[in-house]
Amino acid sequence: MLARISAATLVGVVGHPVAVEVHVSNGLPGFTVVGLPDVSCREARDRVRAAVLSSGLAWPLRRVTVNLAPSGVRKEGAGLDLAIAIGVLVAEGDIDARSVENMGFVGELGLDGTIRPVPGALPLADAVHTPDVVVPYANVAEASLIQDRTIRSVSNLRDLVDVLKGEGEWSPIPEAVEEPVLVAEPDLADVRGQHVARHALEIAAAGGHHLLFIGPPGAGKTMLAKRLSGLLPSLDVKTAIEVTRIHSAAGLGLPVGGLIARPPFRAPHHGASAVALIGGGSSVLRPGEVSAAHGGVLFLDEMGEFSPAVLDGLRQPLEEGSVRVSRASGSAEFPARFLLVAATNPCPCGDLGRPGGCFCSSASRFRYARRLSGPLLDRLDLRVHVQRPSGQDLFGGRCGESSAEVADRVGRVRNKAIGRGVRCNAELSARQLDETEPLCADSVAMLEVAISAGRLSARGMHRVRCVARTIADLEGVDIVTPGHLAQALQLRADPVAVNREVDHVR
Amino acid sequence: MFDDGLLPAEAWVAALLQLDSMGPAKMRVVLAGRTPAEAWAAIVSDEPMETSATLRQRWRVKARSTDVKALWEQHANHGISILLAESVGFPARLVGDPEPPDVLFVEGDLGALRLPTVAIIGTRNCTQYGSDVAYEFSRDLAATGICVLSGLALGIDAAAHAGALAANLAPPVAVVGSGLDRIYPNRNRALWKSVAQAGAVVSEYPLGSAPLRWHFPARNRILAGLADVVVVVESGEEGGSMHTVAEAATRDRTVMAVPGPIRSPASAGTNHLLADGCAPATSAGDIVAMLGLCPIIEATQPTPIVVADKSHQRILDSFCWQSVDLNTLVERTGMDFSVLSIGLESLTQTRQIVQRGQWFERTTGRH
Repeated sequence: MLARISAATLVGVVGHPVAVEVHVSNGLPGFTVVGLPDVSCREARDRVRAAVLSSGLAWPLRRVTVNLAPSGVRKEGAGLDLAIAIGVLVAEGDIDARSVENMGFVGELGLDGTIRPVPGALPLADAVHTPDVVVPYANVAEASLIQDRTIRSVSNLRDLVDVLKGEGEWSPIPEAVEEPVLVAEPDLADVRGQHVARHALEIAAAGGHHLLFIGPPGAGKTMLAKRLSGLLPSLDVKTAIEVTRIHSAAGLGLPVGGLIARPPFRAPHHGASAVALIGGGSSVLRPGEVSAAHGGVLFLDEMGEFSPAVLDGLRQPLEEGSVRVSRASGSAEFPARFLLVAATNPCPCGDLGRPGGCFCSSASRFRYARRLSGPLLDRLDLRVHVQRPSGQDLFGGRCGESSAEVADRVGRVRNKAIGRGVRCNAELSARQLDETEPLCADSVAMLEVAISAGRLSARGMHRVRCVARTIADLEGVDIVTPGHLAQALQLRADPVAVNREVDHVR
Repeated sequence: MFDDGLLPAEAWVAALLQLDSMGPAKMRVVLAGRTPAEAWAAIVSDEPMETSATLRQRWRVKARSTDVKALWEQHANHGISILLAESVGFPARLVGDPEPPDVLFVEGDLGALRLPTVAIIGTRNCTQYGSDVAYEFSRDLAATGICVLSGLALGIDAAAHAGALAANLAPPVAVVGSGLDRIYPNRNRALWKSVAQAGAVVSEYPLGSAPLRWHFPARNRILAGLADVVVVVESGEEGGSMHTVAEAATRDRTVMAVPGPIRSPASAGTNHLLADGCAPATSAGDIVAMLGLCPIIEATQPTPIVVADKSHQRILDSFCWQSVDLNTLVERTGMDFSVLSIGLESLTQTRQIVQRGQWFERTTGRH
């Protein structure tokens, strides 16, 4: 009469265990689902009924009540379909309740009884507190990443009922892929010329410093940015699982092995809304692009074209490495630790604010500059000018180093940073810097000049020292010299100095 | 208000110019057969004139609430004098001008206009080269006793005034496109005050006039009219400087142009002028000679700056006196990025190069 099945639902990127209680009683035939289901979840009624009938099983001509406990958590999506169907069959006595006692169910049902994949299978299967979890076949790879569960799968409801009755076999689970299959990433060797930009890319990857490319369209800003994730070391197991959870919950594609082992690269269009970028939503809280880029690279092409409010939303994730989204329906925290790479034209005409060369009105240049200024710009440690490469570079120039060679150095610097107790050099505190590398007199003099010339703020000086530390690490040098600081200063030029010259004739 | 009869004509003209949409054409209508004082009285008593009734109505309301004497005193308090075409001290060069201004507001002393005059003009969006040349030419011209004229805009104009002031001899004169109490652009406030104190700032617009877009071409005609020689330092193919050149041509003033790199957009206009047969200005001496005077100054030589460090010299040489970006410097010098960065830092510190955004430019080290 009463069945209780373990299942789970997603809140943000985290699964919450749900007990599906099914009660079948005498009365007018009917089927109600209670316990805060959203629309797609309530529609489970029709899918489950059709799937049960299509599978050649009997649907009870009685009153069926489904309760999704705890009733305080909003249930979203179709991932509870399978659990509801099994619950009905158990309550009807078609399946022995003992056979599903230690088993959880995750999956959507088709009208013909097939078990369809669901987004977020990894966090969902993780949230089900039973030793065995049944997931759709397409989700097996990601669900298998959970260590202490036995993942089971069959292709449709009929087969599942047979297995539970002891009349069939589970589908064979593919062997977990030991070495994740590496998809070829774009190689840095393809970039011709662009010495400074390459250098900056290497520093950004090695020290986790956020990077801004300034240059006209077609200069290769996007090309360079795309090569950044290839320079980063592969994700450690903990981060990899975290990233996979987010991508799984967001319904993004996962690699064959299920685990995202390489840093992701996300490049949202500049029309993106705040919710698309940061995460949120009115009824269902979804991770945004910043979370999809967790552990990897977030590339904002044409940063000047993003709406200022959207860019402002980046401040919290840049500061804290996570995003907290609160809505009336609840709140969720999404991890969002990413390397930001932004690209922009220096002014609307794109002629780089070249002295005597740019024909934008100063008022329009000022508007552009305003979007790029302030707290966000302050967090971009490296600001590099990218020029269109000359024909000589494109056809005659020799290829630069390959990504593999650079990644090797990057990996060494990252390990050094971990030895200092931080994830990367960008996270070094002022005290740590003072302890490991007190400034020499020449360095102090250089920084003093830069500060008194208004080129550097107090925060800026700290950032420059972090970058200089990374440069020294890349060279394999323990002591930071004025040369390292000078490089860091040169790579931190104010991109909008020219544009600030306001001059508007009405 | 009736003891105002003692006020000079200039005061009444200043008051008339405060009326709505009062320009040269309306002024002519209003002053037809009347003295300025009579014109004012006519407006107050709503005498029929060849203007629309609504405009006359607006004028009357405004005129009745205006205290002409207070306005006159306001000019005096600001140290602003008003010159009509018939006033003593009205610039002789503008007499017989095809489009002379009806009135000039002057802050400072126009006595410098008795000297030979050279207008140094150019684009607001100039390069360091243009800015340096404008500064040096103006400094040397002023030191020779030539009055340097310009428009107090950003870029070349500002450098020209700064150079003329640095010579501390012949006072500079600026012609501007806004009311004398509306300093524009604000960044030139200090320069404006210095020019007014040393020489004069001139405008044909009454107090309170905003720097409207169409004021500047009109300002350019006065600039061309006041100059014996017009020198264009840097200009694109189009722009205010080319307009001044056209105005100078209609007034038979000599136009000279400073040659620039053929690849520099800021020199496109000047190089075009040279191709059209303009005389090149390669030193202040060229300009002085063009005025028919004997140059008593040494032609400007780029001051040889002693550069102690060999690598610094290599960096400076790689500029070729153009604006270059960091990547180009890396390629041209072939230096290690670390050495180059240190060099750039110290050259910036000694102001042998300047950095604007991502661009580096070499200077002649004037500041």
